[in-house]
Amino acid sequence: MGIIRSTTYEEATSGVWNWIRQRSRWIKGYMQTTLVYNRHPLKLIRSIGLKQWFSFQLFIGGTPILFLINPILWILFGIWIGWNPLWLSELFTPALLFLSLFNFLIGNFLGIYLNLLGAFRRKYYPLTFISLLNPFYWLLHSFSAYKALWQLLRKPHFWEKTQHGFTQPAHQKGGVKIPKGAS
Amino acid sequence: MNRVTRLPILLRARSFWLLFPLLSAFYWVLNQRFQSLALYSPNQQWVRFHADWLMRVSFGGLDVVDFEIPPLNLLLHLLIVSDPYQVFLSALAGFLVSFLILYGLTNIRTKVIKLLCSLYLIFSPSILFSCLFVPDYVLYLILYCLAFYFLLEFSVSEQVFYLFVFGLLFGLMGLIRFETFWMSFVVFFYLFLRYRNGRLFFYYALAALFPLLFLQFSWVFLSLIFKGEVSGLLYHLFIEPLRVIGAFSNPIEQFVLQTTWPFIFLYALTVVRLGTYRAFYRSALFFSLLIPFLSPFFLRTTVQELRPVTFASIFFIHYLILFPYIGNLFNERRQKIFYGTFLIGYFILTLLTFASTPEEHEALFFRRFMDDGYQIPASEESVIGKKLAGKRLIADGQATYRVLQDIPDLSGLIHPNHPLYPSAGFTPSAFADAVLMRKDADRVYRDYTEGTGQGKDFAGFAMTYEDEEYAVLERVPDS
Repeated sequence: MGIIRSTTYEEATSGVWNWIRQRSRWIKGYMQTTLVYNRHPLKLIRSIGLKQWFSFQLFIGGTPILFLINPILWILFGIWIGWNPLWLSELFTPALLFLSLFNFLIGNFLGIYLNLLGAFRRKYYPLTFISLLNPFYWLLHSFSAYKALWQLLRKPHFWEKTQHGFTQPAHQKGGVKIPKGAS
Repeated sequence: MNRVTRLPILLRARSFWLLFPLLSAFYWVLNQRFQSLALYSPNQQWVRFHADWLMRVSFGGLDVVDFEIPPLNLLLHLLIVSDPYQVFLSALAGFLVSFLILYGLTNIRTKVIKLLCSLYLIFSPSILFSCLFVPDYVLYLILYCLAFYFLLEFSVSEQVFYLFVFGLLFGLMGLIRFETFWMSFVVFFYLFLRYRNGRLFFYYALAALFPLLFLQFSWVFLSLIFKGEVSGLLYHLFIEPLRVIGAFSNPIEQFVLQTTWPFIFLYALTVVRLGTYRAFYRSALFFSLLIPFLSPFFLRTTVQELRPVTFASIFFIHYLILFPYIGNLFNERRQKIFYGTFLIGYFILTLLTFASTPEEHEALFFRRFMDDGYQIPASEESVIGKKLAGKRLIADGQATYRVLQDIPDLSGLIHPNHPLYPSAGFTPSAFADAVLMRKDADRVYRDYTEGTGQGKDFAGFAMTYEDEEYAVLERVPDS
């Protein structure tokens, strides 16, 4: 076991739809892995231990669930702000409401700030303002997650392809154009 | 890595873990001795009362919170009022002073100055008073020291991590004092001076100020959701502090300048010694020397509640943090004489200013501190509070908190937002034994005078106390 380096030299896709295809494939992978390993949960606990089992559920299973829940919570938040219906107030008790608001505000703040830190660390200063769009980036993830869920149910053996070659390193500009193809 | 001080390893040092509990215990003993005197400024009293109110009387949602109290300040007071043994308060003070002492010991080379500096930090009545009765200022100072340190360290090492830590700490400062927002202009100017060549300072300013702006905006946003309006909070946040500039000539502020005049001398001397080259006067280091003098403009609190002696501590702490970055102004022998004389002189001056402060709670603390037998005269509010103890009350908590804070059990209180308040207005004798009113800005008093004007006064109640500020109605026994 080890941790791979955070720097990879694979081209990061720059097109939105291409990016959604890529992420939906990744998220579908998370979903499928969760389902496969949870076929026999007790056997899995015996095999990897309780602590690792929890880590697995939270990290591999929790990631797509988080993406799937995100737009639902945004919609509920919008309804609460706009209409504040009684059923919603009953659903969100004061303690749950405080926790949700804390997560909403501090979670988004930390997401943006960590992205800012990443851009600074690499001295990609023009990207700093893009970091402010982090909540929209999360919504795109949610869109990909629903696409992945749909495909998991309807086309479980289909895997999206990511097209590469849109961006070229400066030294290759004007050089060989990488053909569009599977990653 | 090019680092001037050794702060990151300071908290890992064994000496810190020896000094911290020791000083916390010292403040705990002092708290046991002085805390019952409750020598708080009116604003402190309101925040304490509101925290107590939220804990004991109102368990509703965020809509009962006074959004004009900064959230971290409120959270801190919630912790403090729910801690009857003052352990948390003592630990907070212990942390600040032990951190500053170790910072001084690590970064000052002259032994005499190390000793005098540590003694000043422990025994200065100014810092003692803050540690006992102004906990939010203590927390603010902790964040201020760390934030200022990380900003300086970033200027030296250019490690963006330090700038981000500064940003987070600065954002938290903004959740203790809203007025920190105005200090963001100081930070912006500091970064401009340091990185004015090129556009880098825009990006750095974004990293440094984003947390403050985001967190303060979040609080305004919550206020909008729960209170339905933000104009009061925005006025409190952005406009009110500016009035300080208009009122700069008031005698209190003159007094603040008088108590801190030795620092003007110290800072001026530092500038003269360092300013061999003209470029120094355009540098961030020069600007950082000026920050404490600018802070009265940005921290309204300095003239509203931290006046005047408490505020003096910020000059000392600021200079201490700045000390290793300034470098040697003199040789060691001259340092001993100069800084030694300065510290002893300033300690004596602090004692003298404490003795002549116009702020009653500061003056009372000093008198009691010097003379254990001195009895603090009871305030008008505490006399009324004692009179009403144990009675079911109708009162506007927001206006009469200075009386209510002396009443231990408020479970029977009916306030204007209480669901029973309209009924209690019609038949008060069924709900309360007494009605407490403050004459200037009290909803109960307004309702009472309107009712009396229409011939519908509180039936069965008679006025038992009245002065210029308060009025108390009590139930006539037969009714």
